Amino acid sequence: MERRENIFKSDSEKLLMLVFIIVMSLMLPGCPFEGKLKSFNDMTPKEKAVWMMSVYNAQYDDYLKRVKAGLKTESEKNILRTKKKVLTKVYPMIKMYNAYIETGSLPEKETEDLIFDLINQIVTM
Amino acid sequence: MHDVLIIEAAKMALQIFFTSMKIVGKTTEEIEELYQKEKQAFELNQPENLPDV
Repeated sequence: MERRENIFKSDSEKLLMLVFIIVMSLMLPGCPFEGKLKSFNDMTPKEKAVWMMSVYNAQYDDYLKRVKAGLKTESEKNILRTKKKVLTKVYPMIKMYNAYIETGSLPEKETEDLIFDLINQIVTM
Repeated sequence: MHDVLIIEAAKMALQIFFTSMKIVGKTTEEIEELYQKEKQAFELNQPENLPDV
């Protein structure tokens, strides 16, 4: 009988998936975090800006860490190349969003949705 | 390629979750403080400074 190769090659990858499963199950009905997290649409404009910049900054730092650690496979490199494209695209949009809220204007829903979609693109790469 | 994508998606989902947790229960002043802190880093983290791979 053939042995299927484990998709999680290293212990840190296995640990990551375990943490992911635990965190997601804490979101289930009856669990501590259920209903506590605000969805993006429920956040105030300033909270949205904090969220956008926080995710952007974290992804930026992650990109640099990965490059410094050295990339082994072509697929890792391709993911980073795509990440850089998306980060480049979303940066001026977040900047514009910040300018809007600092003047006290309400950004258009379409602008918010576009930034949200771009940030989520990084997840689905 | 699929296993790398699964790991990346899990990492990103966790990151989004913990980022959202940063905002939960914060006062207006605390949000403003977070905003200024993130903005400082954001303005330094220009994408053209990212090295190509």
